[in-house]
Amino acid sequence: MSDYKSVKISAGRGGWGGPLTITPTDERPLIYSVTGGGIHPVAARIAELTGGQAFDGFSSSAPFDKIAVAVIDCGGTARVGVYPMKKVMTVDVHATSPAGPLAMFIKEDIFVSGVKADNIEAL
Amino acid sequence: MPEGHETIYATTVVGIGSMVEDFLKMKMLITFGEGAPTELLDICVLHRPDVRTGGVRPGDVVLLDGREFEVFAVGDVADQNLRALGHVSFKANGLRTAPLPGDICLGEVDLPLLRTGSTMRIVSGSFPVPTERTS
Repeated sequence: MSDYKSVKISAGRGGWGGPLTITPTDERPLIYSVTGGGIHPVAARIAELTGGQAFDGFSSSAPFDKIAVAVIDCGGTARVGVYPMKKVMTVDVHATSPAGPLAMFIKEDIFVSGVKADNIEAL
Repeated sequence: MPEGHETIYATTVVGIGSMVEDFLKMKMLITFGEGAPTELLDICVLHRPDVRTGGVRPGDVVLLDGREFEVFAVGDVADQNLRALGHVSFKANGLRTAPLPGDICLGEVDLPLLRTGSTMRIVSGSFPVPTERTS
């Protein structure tokens, strides 16, 4: 099951950072949705295009080193920094820019925001 | 509870992350409801809500262990985060417009260090709550 494909994820309107290229692997297969209300459509789309496994971070826990990309709906302070701090590629569906106590970890090569399904491109 | 002052959120703290005290020094307090992923536990106050109606607005009152704080501003996604995830970023910055969508801004106060068993309530209506300080 190593038939994964890559996607390019660009910042949406008002967004920041990126673009990121995401390719799940057998070691890191999870498209990790840390959002309210189940798998976010952006995470579902990334999973669909890459062959990665959509995973709801609020319903069960996953080993951190299995995550290919974290999809968050963060309002700008907490999740927006935690995943980049832990060196996990991070996609925020809200159009946030680096801010908050962990802003130093939020860089263009690991974080992209304002992302809608349209901003995800199969490679 | 006097008329017009309803409890729209009520919860009990079940855990305190190792970075919470540092964040308090930066005048912020981050909460998540139980069930939040492990990697978020260091930064947040973890809690178990009993009332999660939500609908928080400026002028409402946040009670942290009974101490009252007026809500100055509510970011665009803050109430949605609260209801769905028990997640709030309280900022004691005195701003009347929330700088970030997830913020709930309070006055420029010192936020208390909560502990396991502490209570947090949000009461709708004008600050201050006229009577009844105990729950």
